[in-house]
Amino acid sequence: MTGSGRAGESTGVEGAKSAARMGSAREERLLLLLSIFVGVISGLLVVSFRMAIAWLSVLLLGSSPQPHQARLLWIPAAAGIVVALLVRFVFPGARGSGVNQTKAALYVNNGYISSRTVIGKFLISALAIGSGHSLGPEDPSLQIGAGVASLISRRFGLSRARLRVFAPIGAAAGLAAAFNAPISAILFVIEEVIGNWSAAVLGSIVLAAISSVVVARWFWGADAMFRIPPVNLVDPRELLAYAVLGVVGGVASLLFTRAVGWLRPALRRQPASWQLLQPAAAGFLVGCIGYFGLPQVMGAGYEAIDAAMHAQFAWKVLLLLALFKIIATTLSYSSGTPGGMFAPTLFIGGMLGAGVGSLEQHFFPHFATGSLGSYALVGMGVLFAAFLRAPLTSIFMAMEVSQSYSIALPVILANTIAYLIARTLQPVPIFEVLTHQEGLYLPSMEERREESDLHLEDAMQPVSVPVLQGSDTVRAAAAALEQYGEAADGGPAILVQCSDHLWYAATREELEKLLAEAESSDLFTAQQTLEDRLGAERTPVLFPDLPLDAALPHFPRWPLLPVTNRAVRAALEGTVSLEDVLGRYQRH
Amino acid sequence: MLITVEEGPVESRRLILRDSLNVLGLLLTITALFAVTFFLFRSFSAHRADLAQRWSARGRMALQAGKPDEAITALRTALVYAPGTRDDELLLAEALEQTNRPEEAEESYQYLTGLWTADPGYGPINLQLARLERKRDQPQDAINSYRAAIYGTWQGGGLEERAAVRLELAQYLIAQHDLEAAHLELLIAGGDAPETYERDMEIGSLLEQAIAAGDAETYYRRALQAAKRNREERDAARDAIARIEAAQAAAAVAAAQEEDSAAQKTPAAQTMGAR
Repeated sequence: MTGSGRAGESTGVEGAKSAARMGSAREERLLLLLSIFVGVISGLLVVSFRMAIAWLSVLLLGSSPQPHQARLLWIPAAAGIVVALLVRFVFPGARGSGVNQTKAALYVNNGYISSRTVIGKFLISALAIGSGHSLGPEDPSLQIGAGVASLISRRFGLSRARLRVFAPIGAAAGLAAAFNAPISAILFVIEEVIGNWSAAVLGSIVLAAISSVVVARWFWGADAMFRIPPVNLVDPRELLAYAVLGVVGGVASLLFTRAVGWLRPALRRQPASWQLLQPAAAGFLVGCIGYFGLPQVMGAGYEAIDAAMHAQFAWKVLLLLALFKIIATTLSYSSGTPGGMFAPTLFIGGMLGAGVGSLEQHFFPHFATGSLGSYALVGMGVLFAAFLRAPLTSIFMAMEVSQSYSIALPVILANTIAYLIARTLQPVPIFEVLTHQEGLYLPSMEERREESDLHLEDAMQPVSVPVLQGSDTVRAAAAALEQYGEAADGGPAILVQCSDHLWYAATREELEKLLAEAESSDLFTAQQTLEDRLGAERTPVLFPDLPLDAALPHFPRWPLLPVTNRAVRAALEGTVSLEDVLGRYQRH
Repeated sequence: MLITVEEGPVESRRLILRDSLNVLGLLLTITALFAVTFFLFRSFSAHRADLAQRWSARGRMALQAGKPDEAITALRTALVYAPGTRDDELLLAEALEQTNRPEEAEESYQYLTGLWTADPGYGPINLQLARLERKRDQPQDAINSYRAAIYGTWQGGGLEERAAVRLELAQYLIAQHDLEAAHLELLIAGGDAPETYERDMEIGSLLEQAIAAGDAETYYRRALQAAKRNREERDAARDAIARIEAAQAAAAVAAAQEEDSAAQKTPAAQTMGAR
């Protein structure tokens, strides 16, 4: 190489480093500014979203839905048909609650959420909830916020790493505006969506959440989401009453999880034409519950929660409402109608709490002295901890909503009991159950990962080595390899895709030896499949978002590692070799 | 993208320009979105306030017409659109109580207790609670609630309302045969209440029931003063005074006769003793 050539190369590398530094600094600066923009836009959209739901509700169900009104039967059913058509043909990304879809966008699509999904989520969820389907606006708000963040970050041309960081920032903003409780929203997103505490992201999340809440409060006022009566713990013995509530809540959450976990896959197994009718059928059944006496279970049900907190229902009605809300939400959600699970969870918890409190006050008046509002609030926290498996968020939510620290002790006690019951009897949380049903393997909150500066995707290379099918016979594999010709000679290994969707990376020598053995042996050996000959060992399963150092322990055994897609493990995203990893570290 | 050192500043300027334009675009988007949301929200809030008013009025009318079930539905709906409206909350409690069904009565009590927990110093809540406790035959709780209502807060000062609550308490105490306490409450009510013909007549009547004829006469005389121009009222007050005077005269005659008979009995007894 000549001197001028080396100088040119040096200039090029310097230029690349300088550009990388400049890009990184720019993104750092933009991150905080854009977080505020994301917060403000999410706040405005969530305010509009809640308005749309309330307006549609009055328009479709009337200003005072009462039992025996015929429209309670047909409106949710008719809206179900429209919802199903829109989800199937116009907005397929709007399906589901929003939490798992945001997680999937984060872990599978690098934080990409299309504008069509955001629009679809807004319109369809508003229609579904406004027409009486038993779902809530919080999870869709979370996805709308994440979608806004994704759109803005793409508009600014941020890097893939930043795109992934930005979606949860928007998610926190959307949820904070819907909840009118920024701390709970921040904790939920960290606990359930991101799964780790990164100072840089935390700052942006806080900024976005506060901005969105400021916007939401400008419209709705500074009052908490529910009017909470004064909360106080007069007698420590009353903690026993809250413990009972914890047990009841744990069992109820188990019932709810099992019901959704059973009905949803059962309905998804049905033929496509029948799936198109499911939202309508669910709407009709939910309408029946309203028609025959409990219209409170229709929609998000905030008014009923407020009424329960202020002792407007007798204990029998409260327990009935909790039971039928479980049924109604299971029907609505399992039918594929877009909408959230937060509000129904709070509804069920609130009714159970007020019901148990009311019952205890009725039979043990000197024992349970707290207000029904405190019981309802603790009940909401209990279901949040046990059903959504967000114990930390549930405690802070109760304190933030009530603006009282005296609720902390009952909440911690009841939530812990409920959480332990739910976790023991149902080890897989509901969000994981739902993602597994969709064939996705997203990291759960228990799978909190330490963020690393570099990920496998940073060192990953396009697949340039031969790929053989493990289900082929040894002879067929040899023929396939020959077709690659010289291309097969230079690579460090040859990849074999096995029928269990896992991979095997064989060295050239290893494969040649195997093929030679097959050629020289009997016909039976030659007819054996390649994966049978390779044995049970497989290369480790690696995903693009894993830390770069996750690959290092495997190189002594494997010359090349396949990197696969989280949603479709058989799909190759690329490969990494030891040289790729070391080279990436050197460039960092 | 590979950028050489020479291209760096150019690229940097290009990025700054692009980012500035994007930020401007975002600001415009926010402004437009804010304007749309603002106008929609204003219309939305007005619509909800209107619905709340309509349902509240419907609830009041139903309650006045003696249809508590209709009133409950209407008032609950009004509270959905305007949560925490105190008047509607109290009317709802009243409607629940008026159904005369044990479940609703219990619900009404719980509801009022909940309202009381949220605002224990509010007079009207305590008054409603007292009335409900009367019905539930909890005399001491009812008396406590009446007193809390008297010393509680009322919209617009509440001078009239406090006096009315005190009179109601006095009536209840008379019904409970606690005449001494009733007498005391009536004297305080008389001192606090504005001097009107109706009020003085009412206090006088209650004092009569509390066996305090002297004080009753004082209030009837005040009523007579207040009713100078109205002949019917004057006659009623005079009649009441006359009734008291007659009763007092009768009582005096009875006392004198009793004294006489006692005096007659005493010499006879002395004579008998001497014999």
